[in-house]
Amino acid sequence: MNVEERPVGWWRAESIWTRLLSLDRRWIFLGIALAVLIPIITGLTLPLGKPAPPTVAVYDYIDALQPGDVVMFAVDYGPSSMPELHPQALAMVRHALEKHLRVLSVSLNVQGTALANDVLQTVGEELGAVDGEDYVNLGFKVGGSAVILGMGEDILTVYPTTADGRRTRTLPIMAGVRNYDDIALVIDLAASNIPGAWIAFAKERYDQDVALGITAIMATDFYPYLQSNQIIGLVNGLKGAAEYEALVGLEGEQAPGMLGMSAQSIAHLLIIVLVIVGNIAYFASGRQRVGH
Amino acid sequence: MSGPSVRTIGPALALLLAATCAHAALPGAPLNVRAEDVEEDDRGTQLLVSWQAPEEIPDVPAASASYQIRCARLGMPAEPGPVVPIGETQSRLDGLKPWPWRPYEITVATRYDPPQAMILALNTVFGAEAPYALIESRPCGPVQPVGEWFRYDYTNILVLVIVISSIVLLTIYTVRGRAEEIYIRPIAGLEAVNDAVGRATEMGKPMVYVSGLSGIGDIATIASMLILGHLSRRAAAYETDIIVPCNDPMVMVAEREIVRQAYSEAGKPDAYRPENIWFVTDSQFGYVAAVDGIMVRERPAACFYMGYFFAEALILAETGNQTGAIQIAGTDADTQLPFFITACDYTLMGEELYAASAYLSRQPLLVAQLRGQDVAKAIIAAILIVGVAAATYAAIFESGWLAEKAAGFVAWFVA
Amino acid sequence: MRLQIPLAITFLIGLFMAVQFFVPHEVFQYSFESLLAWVRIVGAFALVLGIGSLLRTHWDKIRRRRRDWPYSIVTIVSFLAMCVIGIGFGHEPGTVFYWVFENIQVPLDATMFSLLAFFIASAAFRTFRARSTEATLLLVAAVVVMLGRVPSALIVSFGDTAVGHYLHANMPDVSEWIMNFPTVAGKRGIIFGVALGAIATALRVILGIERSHLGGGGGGGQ
Repeated sequence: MNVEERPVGWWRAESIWTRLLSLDRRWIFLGIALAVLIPIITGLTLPLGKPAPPTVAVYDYIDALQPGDVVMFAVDYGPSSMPELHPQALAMVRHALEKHLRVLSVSLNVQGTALANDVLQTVGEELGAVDGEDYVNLGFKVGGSAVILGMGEDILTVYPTTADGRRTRTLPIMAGVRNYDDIALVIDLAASNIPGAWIAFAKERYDQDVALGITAIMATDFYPYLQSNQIIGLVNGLKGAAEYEALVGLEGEQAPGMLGMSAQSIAHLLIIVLVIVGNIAYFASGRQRVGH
Repeated sequence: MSGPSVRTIGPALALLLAATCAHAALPGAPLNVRAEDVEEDDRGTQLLVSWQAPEEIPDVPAASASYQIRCARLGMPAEPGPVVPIGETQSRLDGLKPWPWRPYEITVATRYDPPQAMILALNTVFGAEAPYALIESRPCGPVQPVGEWFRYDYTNILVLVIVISSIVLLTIYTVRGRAEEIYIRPIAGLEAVNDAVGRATEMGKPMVYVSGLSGIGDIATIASMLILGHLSRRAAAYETDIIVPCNDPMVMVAEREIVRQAYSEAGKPDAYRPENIWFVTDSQFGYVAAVDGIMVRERPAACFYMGYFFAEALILAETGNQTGAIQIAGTDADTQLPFFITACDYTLMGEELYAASAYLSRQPLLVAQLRGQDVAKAIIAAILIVGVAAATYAAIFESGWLAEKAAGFVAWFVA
Repeated sequence: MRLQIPLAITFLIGLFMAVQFFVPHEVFQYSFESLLAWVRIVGAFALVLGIGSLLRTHWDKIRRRRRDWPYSIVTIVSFLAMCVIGIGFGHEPGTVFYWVFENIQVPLDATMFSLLAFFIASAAFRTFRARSTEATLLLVAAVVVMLGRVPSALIVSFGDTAVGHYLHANMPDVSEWIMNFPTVAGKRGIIFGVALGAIATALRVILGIERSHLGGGGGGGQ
């Protein structure tokens, strides 16, 4: 923005607004950093509000399953999306294992394998679940939609071994599990367009029930699938994670989603304030009249 | 047809049987084995096998009994199938092939396994396969599963695919001769491509081309590669460098070929620099860090973001914005459009990305195809209006001939 | 011939992929799965080519002492170190690979992603203006959706008052309504356009009308 284009400051307040409009972006960066850091450092907790219906739909579906039913978690996110998706994974896997469901984990993202390990082992150890009997991490397979389609035919062909090299066929958890016919629900946790492939191939081709756990920025992409019943539910971002934690009855350190929500609330508030201040400055400075 | 037989697998079980069930010879085999096609199996890979329990299942001390399905292609050795508990009288046999040659012969056997503890011990000694004994029934066959040749529940999709494809192709055929008369709405982002190449040439700086973060199977990536083809022909003509960092190795291989071709066609194969097109990483933010670094170091004159993008869209575009490059983005990822519109000079929205190839080349066939697309879109809009009216009518007037027809019309699309 | 063979392969495989969607018979599904397996195999070989190109590019930079060449040493050393650690000592939890992943890769990735929050705030302040009626509607909808995503922010704004609690209880529903109806309606419009564009692009690639990716000068078949 050129300095010459600014209206000449005949009134002192106008020059303040004008100066505000060309505020150095680093002040905004500092504001956001403080808005995130202070609630985390002070441990600020804010009330959550009632859970969104798409989150409740996933919870209810898992809650209605019978012990021994199989739930497949597709851990398709990387470390960058951990703050939003890891709390979701922890809460949902905990719910499934508490219900004595069998939990399989697969990853179409190479970094997802280690994150799936972390989730399964953390929750598994806390609940005394046994690797290979109650849960197993089948790991990463290259191929994206080809892997999803392959599992519709035979999971053992796609995953002859688990992530840590055990023969999948020999594991007690795999008894009677051959393809999607034997899996009650696939939950895809992702920050990419992989959920689209799960819907197109697992749901549409094999009529497998699919639920999603996604980052908030992707939510608008997947709401249409919710309306058309192509997914049974949707856990949306950090808020979804916090809601699911509340539904499962978690709190404190077991509920990282709730802890993050306070920081997110204050940061959102700051952005709203910035937008409002930006607009006031825009109109007060007379910019809209000079065609900017 | 051979009669019932005793088959032993594994030397250890021979010893086991000698000690325990030497008397369990022919009686005990399942009777009246039948195998038939499974109706809901459209692939033709399953048979439903049923049988009658034998009058008496010989008791073998310390061994557990079950049934096992066995299946052999005619003239070949039998393969073991599923094991089902005593008491069941049918089971599904899967993983077969419906080829007309070599049908199957099915037998059901009463199977004796040693105790679990012994299986584990024998597994350790003899390897993975535990020994067991079988008393096989008379074979049933030859039989073979039958596959379906059409997925009837997809009829509506097939009809729409044929209709839309026919409209597009028919329009191409009818208007290609007068394609130059077809009006194409000016797309500022594509008009600016030439300016961007010119700017880069004048400044003596390179251009950066990012073709999205989805793989080669994504149609947005394919559209992006088509634009890269046009862009690199221009870049070759002006001898301007084009840097293409890739995050998918298959896309990298294809894009190298596209750019190499473009330079050859422009008559400047020596100006092609393969080292400017390389695989960076498939990690989303590792890739962003690398591209941001390239932009900050090289200070490109122009940045192109064409393809499918995720959360990295704004990070890339803001960094490019800070470096002062002219930025042109194009994506069908609607969630990322606001970010590109905010930070880029020009943005191709949704289908404009697909139209870019026709727009840039002005080839009659490609331009004619745009017209076809518009006609198809008008027809879909008409179907939508009729569908909404029909669904509303059916919801208000629940009974009556017209309401039923309206509901049927909507149901045909939904099914 | 150089053009005809790739065009013929594209046409045949494209046609097959379209037809197999409607034919459940094992003949088609078996061939389809074999093709998918080929894609995985080609992908694995392409990865080798990709890694080769990465190493060659950086090696070339070091050899010719191009600008910022020391960073290329960091890239190559890091790549080789992770290969040795991962292949030689495994990648399960408790291994060095896993430690590096958790303590270097995870924070680095998260740092890059977190830049988005700063950029969004700065971009929102810079460009989100109520310039027209449409822009004002968008702005109001955006604020409502944001508040609906973090209803506790309303308690912070309005304090422990009746208004604060009323908004806290109801704003998520309004936000959900905006996401479910106006947003989805707009999005469907874009999806129709994109889907038609995708069908047309696929058709012209399969039928060989579009050849620019093969070096055919953009369009052909006339």
